[in-house]
Amino acid sequence: MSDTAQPSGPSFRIDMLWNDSRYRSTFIQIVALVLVILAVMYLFQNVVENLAALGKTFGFDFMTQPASYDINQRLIEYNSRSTHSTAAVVGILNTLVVAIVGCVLATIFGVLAGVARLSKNWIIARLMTVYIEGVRNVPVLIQILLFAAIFDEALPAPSAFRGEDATASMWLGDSVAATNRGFYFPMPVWLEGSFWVVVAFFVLLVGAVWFGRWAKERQQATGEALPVLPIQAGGVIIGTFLVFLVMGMPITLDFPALKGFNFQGGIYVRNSYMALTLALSIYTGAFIAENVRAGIQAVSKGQTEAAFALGLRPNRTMNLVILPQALRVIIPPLISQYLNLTKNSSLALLVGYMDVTGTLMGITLNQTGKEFETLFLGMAFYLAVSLSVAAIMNLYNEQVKLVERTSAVGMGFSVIDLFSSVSGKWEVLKKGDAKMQPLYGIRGLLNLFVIFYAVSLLLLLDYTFLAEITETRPSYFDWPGGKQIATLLMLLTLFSTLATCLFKNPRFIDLAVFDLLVFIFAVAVGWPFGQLVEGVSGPVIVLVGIAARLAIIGYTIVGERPNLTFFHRVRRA
Amino acid sequence: MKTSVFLGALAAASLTAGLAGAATLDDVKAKGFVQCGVATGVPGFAFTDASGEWDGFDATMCRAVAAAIFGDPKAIKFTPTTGKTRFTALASGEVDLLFRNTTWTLSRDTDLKLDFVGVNYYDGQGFMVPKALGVSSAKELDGATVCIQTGTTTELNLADFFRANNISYEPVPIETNAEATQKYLAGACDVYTTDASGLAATRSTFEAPADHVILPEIISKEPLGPAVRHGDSEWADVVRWTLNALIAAEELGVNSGNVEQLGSAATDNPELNRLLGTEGEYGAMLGLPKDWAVNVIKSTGNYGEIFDRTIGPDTQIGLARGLNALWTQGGILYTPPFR
Ligand SMILES: N[C@@H](CCC(=O)N[C@@H](CS)C(=O)NCC(=O)O)C(=O)O
Repeated sequence: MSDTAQPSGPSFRIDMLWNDSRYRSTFIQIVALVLVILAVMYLFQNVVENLAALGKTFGFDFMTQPASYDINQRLIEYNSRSTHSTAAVVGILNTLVVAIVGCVLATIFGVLAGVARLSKNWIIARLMTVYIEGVRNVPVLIQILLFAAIFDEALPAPSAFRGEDATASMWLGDSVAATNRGFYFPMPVWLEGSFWVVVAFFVLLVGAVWFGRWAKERQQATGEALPVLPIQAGGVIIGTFLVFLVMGMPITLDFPALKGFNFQGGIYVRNSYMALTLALSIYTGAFIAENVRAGIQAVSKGQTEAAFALGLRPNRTMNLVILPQALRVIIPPLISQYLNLTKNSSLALLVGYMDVTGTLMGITLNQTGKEFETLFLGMAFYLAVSLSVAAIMNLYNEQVKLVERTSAVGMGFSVIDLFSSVSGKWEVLKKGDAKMQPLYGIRGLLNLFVIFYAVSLLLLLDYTFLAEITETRPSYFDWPGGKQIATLLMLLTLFSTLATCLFKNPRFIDLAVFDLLVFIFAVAVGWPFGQLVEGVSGPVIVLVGIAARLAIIGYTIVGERPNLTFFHRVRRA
Repeated sequence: MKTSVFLGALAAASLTAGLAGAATLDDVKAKGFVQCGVATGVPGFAFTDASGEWDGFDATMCRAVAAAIFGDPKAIKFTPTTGKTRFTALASGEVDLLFRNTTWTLSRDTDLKLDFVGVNYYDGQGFMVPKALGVSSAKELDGATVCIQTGTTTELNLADFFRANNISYEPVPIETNAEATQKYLAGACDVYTTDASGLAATRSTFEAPADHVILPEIISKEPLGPAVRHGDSEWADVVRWTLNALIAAEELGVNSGNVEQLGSAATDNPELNRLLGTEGEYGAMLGLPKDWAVNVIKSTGNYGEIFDRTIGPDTQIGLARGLNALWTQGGILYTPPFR
């Protein structure tokens, strides 16, 4: 009785869980969580039990057995004695080739068609409408099969090129052959000395980028504009060509020629690949075209008129006024188009292109009968790729999205807050603040950071999935659990640190710290860093790895960082 | 407490669900027809004829199983399966048995959880090339483009053969026989390789079969036979002894013409009587009617009759009996005794 009379007392009754609004929502969430966990447990148990009832076990041991089948298109060393995991990697690389080339082509088709659809030229605009509406409304599966059928039936067999009475001939002065098996292109052959040509090309490329930044800074200071693009292009092309001449023309072409059953030499692009990539990029391009059109039309006409009134020429209006605003509308749907293309590439199966659905989830599944394991790995792969693409595109979107004076780059807790006493108070800039402008420097240490994380990531990927399997380097599936987890974590943190660094995202510092912790964890579980780079011992790699990470983090936290614009903070005056 | 009871009940339910499919013979009897997995289309072995009925060497043997159970070869539904889908179709219960040019191998028998119950055709893998290529041996195929069906033993043998002979090739993976034929005829591959019987069958449909040769090399053993799910011995017995009955009938001289007369009353050949159910309770031991074998042979004929009608020397396909002759006639076809 006295309890109810004194509401201030610590009284809790069980029915308050659903009657009292203070506890209700937490209680409902906990119940929901328990139900979800039960459901997942039930499903998992069901799978394991049904597998057991069929007499099947769950395990990845088969991945280290010889695959025993051949794959036609392989970007890495592979033969029928290689393991199933190598076959899976071959398939994964084939998927990535289609996805990357397909995304690039789709973007080109899409941007061209999207802009052309808005053309004032009636015929061009109508033609683009026909392309977009026609392609978008036919299932992509049929389009892939159509391309494959055209290549199969309409192109001549290699034997048609043979002999005196050949019925087919090569194109472009006997350099390109189109057969019903694939296309053969000339391939560059790198002779001695070609290394320096390549080095010169990249050095000039970096120089061109720096020149561009310098010219921009100069323009902002003096208002004088230089013809940047012609100078850049001219410098790179002429410079590289001069080195090419000086080194005695060390790069030649290897032309395909008919030998035996097939053409030999040159680059062989299989019809299965051609059909898949073309069909996917034309199909996805049509969707991108619509995104581009919508993006351009979303920019108010007043903007163009204002730009014209200021005396900007049409192409500058497009580049400086319309496109930057249109991109904000275009990027988000573009992300999902890229993801669609990547996932649609699994239709490769239809034309016999050996992507990851053809190797791991196709022949390996079929020959070993490990449906669950192979599908699980395949799904993990597609998930990883999709999430990576989405992450990168989201970071890019973050960069170009609408600038509002009120949208602070505030972001809850960040590691940087711990160091306020060392680094002094930092003010979070609002995007578009005038103070941000001088921070856009030209030569950033950031470039070095990007290179460090990119190289680490590539080395790790190479060691984990590509390197030859030996006594000292067993297949990933034979590694102890701690090492497997450490590897996945390292890949994850390296990738996300790299991406945030690349796109100057303020979260960079937090990921860099997390990446350091993961690296230390990997050292603790005895990850074999000694095998990562040939000729460099483990302790050296560990020391360099930790030192470099510490340096990066230290510089980001306390450095003057005139160029670390991504941080969006300035010291308070 | 409550949750663990709940989970226990769920576990028990899923376990019984897993085992419920085990008694295939009862299931088949209950639903009134046999569900048989065949190829998507291999002339002579499994194809749909002009009236849309499935026919062919494998399809007829499926009908024999239906005849054994129901006395009616039409109590059957066919499911076309590709090299890749066939085992999943069987494991998932979509079909009750496979008669689909399927090679009996150790890993399929164990790891894939199938049970092979016999061999209905002893085969081996061969190569077919256009005569115009001027190739006379498979060892001359260095650099050739080869069409293969994926999910088969063919692709594994092929890899081994080219590896052992240290020559290179370009595999073109394909799903079905029809697709492979189309690619081969279009010249998108130089060579088509599969079981030699399949090659002969495929060639018979070409406009100019004489323009194509099957190379002399046979690079593997391909005992093709019916398969059922692992762990259902009663059902395996029914399929096994239906096949054995077809072979035994040929051995004992029983055919579709004389079976009714021979089965009407006991003869003085006890083995024949046991086969045809005029002596003993052999049908009941299998869970089948007494006259099951009579029904089988009445509706499909014996092994030799089926062979001759679908793929034999007088058909377009023109396969010789070869290894598939009875053991008494120089082949290796041999059935355990009906006793
Ligand atoms: N015997 C081999 C190969 C079987 C096979 O696929 N044979 C082909 C050609 S005879 C076939 O039956 N194809 C049927 C189809 O395409 O549906 C195996 O069991 O793996």
